[in-house]
Order: sequence, then C-alpha cells, then structure tokens
Amino acid sequence: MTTLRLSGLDMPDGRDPLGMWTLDSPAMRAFAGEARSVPDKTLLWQVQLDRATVHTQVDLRRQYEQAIAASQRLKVIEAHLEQLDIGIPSYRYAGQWRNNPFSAHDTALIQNIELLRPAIQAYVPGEAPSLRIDQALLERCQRLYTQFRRILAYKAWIETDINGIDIGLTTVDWGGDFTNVWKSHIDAEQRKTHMDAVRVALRSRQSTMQLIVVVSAGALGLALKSGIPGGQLLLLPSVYQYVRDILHAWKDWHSSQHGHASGLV
Amino acid sequence: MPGTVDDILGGDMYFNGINAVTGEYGQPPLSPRRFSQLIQGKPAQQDYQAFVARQRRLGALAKLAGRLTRVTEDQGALTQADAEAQLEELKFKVSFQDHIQSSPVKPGSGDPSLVSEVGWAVLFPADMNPTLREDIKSALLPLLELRKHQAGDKFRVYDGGSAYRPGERKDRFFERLGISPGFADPEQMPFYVMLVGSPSEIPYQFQYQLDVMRGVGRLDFGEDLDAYHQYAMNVVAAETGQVVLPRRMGIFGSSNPGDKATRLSAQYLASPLSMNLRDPSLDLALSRSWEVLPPQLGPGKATKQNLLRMLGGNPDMTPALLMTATHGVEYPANHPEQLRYQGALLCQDWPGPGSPVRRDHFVAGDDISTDANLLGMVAMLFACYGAGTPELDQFAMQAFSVREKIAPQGFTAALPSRMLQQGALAVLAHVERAWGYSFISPTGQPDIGTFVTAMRMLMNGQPVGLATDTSFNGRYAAMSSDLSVILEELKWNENAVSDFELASVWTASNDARGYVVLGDPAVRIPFAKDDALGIERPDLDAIIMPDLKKRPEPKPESPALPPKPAPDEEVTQVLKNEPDDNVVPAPVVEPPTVEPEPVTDMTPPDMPAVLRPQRRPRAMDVQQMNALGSTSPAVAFGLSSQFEKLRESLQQFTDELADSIGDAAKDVVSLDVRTYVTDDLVTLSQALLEHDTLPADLQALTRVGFDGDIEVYVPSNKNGTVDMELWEVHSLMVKEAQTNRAKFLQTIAELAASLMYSLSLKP
Repeated sequence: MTTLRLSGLDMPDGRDPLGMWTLDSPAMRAFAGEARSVPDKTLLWQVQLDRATVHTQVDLRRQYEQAIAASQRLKVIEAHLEQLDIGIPSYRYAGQWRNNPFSAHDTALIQNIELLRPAIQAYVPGEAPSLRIDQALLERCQRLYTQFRRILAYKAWIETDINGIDIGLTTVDWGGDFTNVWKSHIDAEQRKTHMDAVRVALRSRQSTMQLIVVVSAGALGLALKSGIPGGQLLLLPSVYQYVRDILHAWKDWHSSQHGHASGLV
Repeated sequence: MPGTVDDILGGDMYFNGINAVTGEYGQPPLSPRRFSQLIQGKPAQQDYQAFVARQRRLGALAKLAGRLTRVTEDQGALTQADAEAQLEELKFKVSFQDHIQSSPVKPGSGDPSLVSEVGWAVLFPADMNPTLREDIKSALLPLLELRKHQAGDKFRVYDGGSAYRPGERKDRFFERLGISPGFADPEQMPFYVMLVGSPSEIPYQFQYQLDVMRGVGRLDFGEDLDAYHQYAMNVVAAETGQVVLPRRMGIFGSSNPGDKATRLSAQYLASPLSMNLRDPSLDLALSRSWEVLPPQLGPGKATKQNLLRMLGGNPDMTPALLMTATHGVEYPANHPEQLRYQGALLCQDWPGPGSPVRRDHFVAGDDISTDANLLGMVAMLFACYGAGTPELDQFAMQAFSVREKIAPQGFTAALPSRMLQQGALAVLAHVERAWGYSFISPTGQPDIGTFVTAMRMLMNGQPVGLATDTSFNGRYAAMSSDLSVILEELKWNENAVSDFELASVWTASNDARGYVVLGDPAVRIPFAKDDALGIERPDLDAIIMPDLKKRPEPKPESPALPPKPAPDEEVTQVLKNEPDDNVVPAPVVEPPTVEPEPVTDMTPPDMPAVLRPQRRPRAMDVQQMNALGSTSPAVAFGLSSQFEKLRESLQQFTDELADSIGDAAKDVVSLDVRTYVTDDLVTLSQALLEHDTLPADLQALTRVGFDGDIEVYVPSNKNGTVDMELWEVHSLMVKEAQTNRAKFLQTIAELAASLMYSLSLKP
C-alpha cells in the first residue's frame, strides 16, 4: 500500500490538481510518530509505504509515469485552450467537434465565461454604477494565487516513511540545491524507494508548476478572446477548474482502460 | 388570371431540369405523398420499378462503368455522419440568425463586407499537379496581389500541407488546420475563400459545408491558364475603377408550353422579383435606384436570341446584374455532350415536355461570342446543373440507397465558366438538380425573400459571398434545421406534418444548399455611383494592372447587412408594392474592437491542432488588452478598486516570484547536492528546519559549477574506502537535481512572462 500525502497546500477544492496526492490541508504532519507542524514556507511531500519491495517500486514507478502523463496532457490542454473558440455556444461547439474529448469541459468553461460576460457588458453609459463582481469570486482568485505562490516559491521537503519509520529526507530549495539525509543502516531497496519517492514528488511538482503556466496563459488568452475587462484575472478559477477537471477525467479514463492509475498516453 | 401555386401544380410536384436526349423531365413529377416517402427512404415497389426502368433507359443511352451501385452500410454510416456534422453547424447558424444577419463573422472581427477586415484566401487541392498549381498562381497573380494588398495579414494561400486533401470533410479540414467551427474567425481563416480546382479535386460537398459560415467561391478553368489570367485581370479592373457600369439589372425567365415548372418560376419568382426590385424602398432599401429592364419573360421574350443579347450580344441589353429562371438541360452520365452542355439554359424556344431538345433551344457556353463583353457583370442562374454537376446523385442515395453516377466525375458547367472568361465577375448558380421550390414556402405560398435579399445586397454593392451567405446560406440553414425537426417528429407520429410540407422543406433545403458562387466571392458589382448611366465597358484587352497602393478597397454604400425581414412580410410587401420607410438596421451591440495580431504564417502547419506549437502572449496582445481596458466599463462601474485588490494579490505573488528568481539567479552559479547519514533523523530534521548546523557528518557533496565543472566530496566508510552504495545513490541524486533545476527554471521563466503580461494589463 502506497500513500502519497501533500501538506501545506490548501487548494480551493481540497484536491491535488493532478489527482495523485492526498492533500492534508492542516499544516501538520506525522513525523516519527509525532505530530509536528509543517516547516515554514515548505511543502511537505510524504510517501508512506507498508514496506519496500519490488511491488512498491513498481507502484512508485507508475506514479512517476502518471506525473509525466499529466505533463503531456497539459501540453495538449494548453494547445486546445488556445484554439478554443468562446464565441460559439458551448453545446454547439461540443457537437461540432465530434472527436473533441473535452466537449463537456469546454461547455462548462464557456458557460463560466458567459456568466462573467453579461455582468460586465451590461453597462449602460450614464446609468449609476450598480454592478459589482461577486466577492466570492474575488476571494477564490486570491486564494488560488496564494496556493500557486506556495507551489512555486516554497521549498520541497520530501520524506519517505516505510512502516512508520522515516528512512530518508530530501529538501530541494529554490535554487535547486538538494540536501539528502539517509537513516543509517537501511538496505538498497529502501534507498531505492526513497530515490523513487523523490523523483515522484519532484516530477509532480514540475507538472503542477506547468499547470499553473497553462492556467495563467489560458486565462490571459481567453480574456483577450472574450473581451471581458479584467478577464485575465477573473478567469483564473474557471480555467483552473477546467484544466484540473480534464486531468482528472483523463486519468480516470486511463485507469478504467488499464486497470490502474498510471501509464503514458 | 394567373393560377395559384396549387392550381399550377395540380396536385403533383414538378421539378426543374429537362433531359436533353429524351425531352422529358430529369426527375419525373411526383405526388407529395410518394415524394415524401422517397425522402424518408421508403420507396414503394412501383417507385423502385420506375427508377430501375429509367436507369436502364439512361444506361442504354450512354454506357458508364459502375453507373449504379448499392450503398454499403459503411457508406451509409459515413453519409449519415457527414449529415450530422453539417447539421450541427446549420443549427448553430439558425440559432444565431439574428446575429449572423448582422454579421456572419465572429463578433469584433470587423465589417464582413470589407476584405481588409475579414480577409481573403485561396485554397488549392492537394492532389493538383504542383506545376499546374504554380502556373495557375502565376496566372492569378494580379488578383492575388490585389487581395493581398487589401487583406494585409489576413491574406492566406492554402496549398502544400494546408491544401484540401482528397475526401476530407470540412470539420476534419478545420481540425487539421486548427480552425474553430462556428462563427468565421478571420484570424483563423479569412471569411472570403476562393477554391481553385474542379469538383473532382475539391468536391461540391466541401464547398457547401465551408459556405455555411463563410463566403466561398470557386474558380475552375481546368488547365486554361489564359482564362485564369483574364479573370484575374477582370477582377482587378472592376476593383480599381476601370469598370463603372450603369446600374441596370435584367431578368429572363422562360415559361415553356405545358411545363408547370417554368410556369411556376416565371409567375412566382421572375415576375414578382422584377416588380420588387423596381422599388428601391421595399424590403432591404437600395442606396440608389436601379434601372430594371423590362423582364424577358415567356413567349416571344424569353428566347435564346434575347438571352444572348443580354449576355453581351447587345451592350444596351447587357445588364450589370442578370437573373435567369429556366430549365437547365441534363444528359445521361457519360453522354458525349454532357460536359459541354449540361446546365445550359433552356429557353422559350423549346416547345415543352416531351418535345425533343434541339441545340438552338438552349444557351450554352459556346454560344457566348468571344467578342461578348460581360465585364463587371454578376449573374444568377436559376437552373438545374447551372453551376455544375457532382459525380453522384444525392436523391438516389436518399430514396433508394444506391449510388447513382450522374457524371463520370464532378465538373463545372461550361456556360458560367465561359461567362467568367468573358468578363463576368461572378455567377451564382445551382449545383445538381434545382428542385424548383426555392421560392415556395412549406405552406405552398410564394416566398421570394431569399432572392430579394441576395439581389438587393448585390445592388447595394455588397460582395457576392456576403450576399449569398445572408440569403441562400441562411435559408439552407433554416430549412435544414426545420427538416431535421420534421424527420424526428415523423419517427413518432406519421401525421406530424403533411406530405407537401415535408416535400417542400426537403426540396427547399436542397435547393438552397446547391447555390454556389463561381468566381471570387469578394467581388462586387462595379456600378456607377452617380446617375451618369450608360458608361461603356472597356475592352477586355485594355485592362491594366494599376498601382495598388493608390487604390483603396471599394466599399458598399449602405450598411453592411440588412435587417431581417419576417418571411411573411416579404411576400406581403411584394404583393402590396408599398414602400416601407420604417425599415432601419437593427442596432448591433459590438464588443470592443480588438486589433488583430500580425499574422506571418501564410501556410498553417500540417499537423493536428492540438499538437501545434503553443503561442505565448505577445506584446501585441498587451496592447490589445490595454486598448480594451481604456474603455472598460469596469472602470465606470467602480470596479477598479476590486481589481486593485486582485492585482495586489497577484503583485505580491509576482514579487515573491521575482525575489525567488533573483535568489535563484545568485545561486545559479552552482548547484549543490549534499548527502548525510544519521541514526537520528528526527533531530537532524529539526536542525534542518531551524537552519542549524546539522548534527551529522557530511558524507558526500557534489557542486556543479555554472561552467560545468564538478567538485566532489567523496564519501568513505570506516576503512577509508569509498562507500559505493552511498556514492551510487548520491550520484543519482545529482542527476535528479540537474534535471530538476533545468525544468524548474524553464517553467518559472514561462510563468513569469505570462504573469508580467497580466500585471501590465488594465482591468
């Protein structure tokens, strides 16, 4: 049994956008049997296993491939977002592009954009300003920025725990410097397991950063297309949701095809 | 007293098109009941027997291999898939009819009547001989230069990897080139598209599909390079002021003895259209009055001799805008005369159904004299096969599930081709059988609104491709959409609609679909702006290539597009003949105009859209957005303070990012990887948190310098030898660190660029 836990991140829906890690929203961690706070300005990536065996290594390998698959899917989503024509009503668009695997998500995204559009464009010169953007939306935007900041700016702290015993710890700071701490007297399989855990965590972090790029560029592109003032800021939550949902759906579909949540597309 | 539509039809439905060999209707008359059954693919035994008997007769007249083949299940499924894909877009067009009536292009894309704003493209088939293609391009150079000058960065040449590929459907073509369906987005593909090639190279089906949301025309002179060049020069002449025509339009319509089809078209199309166009204020108001020549209708008037006079034989009778309503002649597939004469216009000289069709009964391409000067003319030919003939008959497929070859391969009719060579700028005509119900409503009432709109837009100086988009393409969308609803209803209730209504909607849909533009879809009639009527056409040989820099694109005089009249109103206005001064263009709320970004890619890459290189926001995007923001209603709403909060949040994020990038930059001179081993991981962990000196011995350190130099602190065991196991793991970590840093910096750079753009934008 392999568990991937990520602490220090508080995404709007409480879910890892890649669908790989379980988010521990309380900034606490279990370390060597004790409850401790997550280090300041740090994201804690914990890999917990029952034991280090060939099977767990295979499992970690699948997780690693999953992170790579997410990266590849993000490239496809980014290109699709760039092509997305928001001038078309979504249900028409979905029907038109018969091979479009994103139809339902396109629909939802375009509907979200459409919800913003009339509020902004209903302005009538000379009339008293009475329209306000939903405060909740603004808060969602700010919260998203905060989490994006954490993903990008925080140090990565990666721990591997086998059957309740921490066997390795690696920190990666902003400059990319690694500090590796190994527990004494562990065997090769255990070392290999922590190595794999580090690779899974870092590849996940890279893919998550890539997701932020895709969301950011996507929101900007859609704002330009939609002509919604401030859209490049206000569309972030919708675009984030769109990208995340597609990744999840894609992963689920792949799992259903292959019986496990891994593998390259 | 003229009869009503019902009186004329006498119960049966009559269709356009006369077989020149038999003198009989190409499609025999049918009762609405039998016709509606055939439309639904439910032929009665007698229908099938009649069909087979007719096929045998036709087959005996001209042998053709594979004339009739059964439609396989796969072919049927493909056809169905095609139809469904097409229907989606047609329904879209209908649902946005009000908008499209105002503008068929994506909101904010500009005035659809101007090439400079919505662009222009030429599309070649991929399987055209490359040498021929380059020769045609050279021959068309004057026209290509003109359009490039007008369209600027919205000028495209689709050839090579972006050419049309054999068998490609429009949605596949769009997907391959990364073009979105729906509203025409000139940034992705210009609104005006000229196909170059024969229907066997670019099928009519593709032209219909592309035409739904764009202005499309076709140029097909085979390998006749002189014809291409002459046509190019004709358009240049018209667009650069070398041709100024009197505002004169003419209507020609036969009404052959005993022929209900032409009686109907003369009485309920040609005649009321002539009346309508005489009054500038009716329906879509004309910006200037036109002289409508006395219509050449029926006995003594709609003769071949008179039609040839209108086609350049007599300059005074040759109008700037010509409309004809006649039978088109058809031949059995592979008949030796088919390519030359199919689609020729059968005049009043023909004695009527059952009579042999003689050569002097119809006007064909080779009847047009080489001296005929049609410069600047735009013509509309209402006739079977007037524009051309596809290889297969769609009705046979639908009614009997067979592929009936009606020609060895698809071809363009000779008459309009000849007209284009003699100076005509465009011919709007019908592909395949014209069912003859374009002007009859599903309830059996005359409805010429589509024709009125097309004619009046042309008379207001609108481009041909735009005039047809608003009229015939709009009707095609509406009728197809209605048809799909009717067919769905009939599955549940056989009596949901009358047989006549189903038959009318089906024929109206197919009629409207079949109208295509031959020629450049962006041409417009070069009529005189003042009342100095009677300006002569210059000689075709006298056309010169002017300095394009001094020639701005001609513009229509009236608002780009008409308000949408209700169909009933159109008929009423025609019958009452009363002016309607209250017709004003509907206000259009345009989104803020966004300047297009420069397009440098003349040839879209030949790869799936989803795999195309990604575009990052560029400086032009920021300018666009700033321009947007400067007039933003958000500011007027007092939203700026809220945006400021949001911006502050983003700013904070970006500042931290910038600081971190700065730190990384300082640190980028080296990459350190340290390895420790400890019995007490908890204590060491705590020390790491508190940035204390670590209570453990450093077992290995690798420092990778900026210049690639590597310093290594090698771990050793108690015996003073290297701990190979630990060294191996450490080495792997070094590799991981190098990979991680490279990817990390790349991601951050991309993100920073995107964020900086966002921050520089106004709310």
